[in-house]
Amino acid sequence: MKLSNEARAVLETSMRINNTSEKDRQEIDSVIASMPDDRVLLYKNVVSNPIGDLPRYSIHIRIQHMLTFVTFLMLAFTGLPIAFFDHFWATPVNMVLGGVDVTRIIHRTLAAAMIFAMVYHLVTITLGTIVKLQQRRFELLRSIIPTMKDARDFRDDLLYFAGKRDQRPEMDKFMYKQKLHYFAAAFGNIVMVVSGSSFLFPEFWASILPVSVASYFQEMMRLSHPHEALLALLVIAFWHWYNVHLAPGRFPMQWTFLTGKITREHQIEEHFLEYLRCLVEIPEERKLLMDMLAARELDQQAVQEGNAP
Amino acid sequence: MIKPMTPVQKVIAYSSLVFILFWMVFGVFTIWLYLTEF
Repeated sequence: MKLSNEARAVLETSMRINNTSEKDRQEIDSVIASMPDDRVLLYKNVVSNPIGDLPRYSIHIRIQHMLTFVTFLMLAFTGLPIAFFDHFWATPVNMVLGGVDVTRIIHRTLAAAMIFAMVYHLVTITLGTIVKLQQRRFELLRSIIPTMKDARDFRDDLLYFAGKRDQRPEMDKFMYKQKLHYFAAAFGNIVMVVSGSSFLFPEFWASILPVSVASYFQEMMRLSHPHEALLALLVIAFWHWYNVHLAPGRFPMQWTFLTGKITREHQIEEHFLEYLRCLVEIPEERKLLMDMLAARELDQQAVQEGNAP
Repeated sequence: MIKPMTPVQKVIAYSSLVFILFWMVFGVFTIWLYLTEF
């Protein structure tokens, strides 16, 4: 496979950061040279473990996802009957939970747990970034921070889905969709925490805001809390779960949130640049891939001779 | 090519679908709520 300039730059950076020896460089280059140009052929034929092959999320990120996921669903389940307490369907839900006053207590307790997950996440990424910067291992492209490349990837992915491109773009560890979703969740979290705290601590917010704004602020927060909640629930139920459970290739479940690992197939398809870094960082992966290419006659030479499946 | 899941993995993965489908019904309910309340 002939790498694009972008992919070559990522690979070079990764090899520099990891102080890759000359021997390993040659091995990596020969593995890449053996990969077929057609990435579809590659990712559809490499062997993957359904629960994941390559590292993606640390245990901290998995715990934070689990905390957010459980508290989010339970907050939605307790929040709706509080917001619409006088509705026919809210009454039985509140009764099961022990009355609307108890529902409120559960809701606030869960909110505290969700805020804890948010703080835990901020601490993790801040410390992680500081350590990486100190070790000179921080790569902007590998982080969740949006770049112009994401806009290009989005355009190219749309072209691919419209049949105007042969290959999906070479995306990084986090693709445009994930970055959008991440920042939407971060924004939603802030809206929910600020508006929720304005119900619990109205005096506090009145004391720090100018008098002319304070009363409008309460009104705005009363409106935004349930609206943002419904928006978030719809995004999770119909977008996020499509992407991680129902989409072709992910069905019936993507295991990354439990195992912290991504399948080789998925990594090559949607996060090819990260896969190149895996080739640098995990020597066993190079050998595994070479064996697979040889066993399935997928190497570039076989493809050119027309022997590939 | 993803290797087949073991029976235990299958149970976990397919039961996650039951879970999300329940919550998707909840999602449809919120759409109804949106259309009727706001």
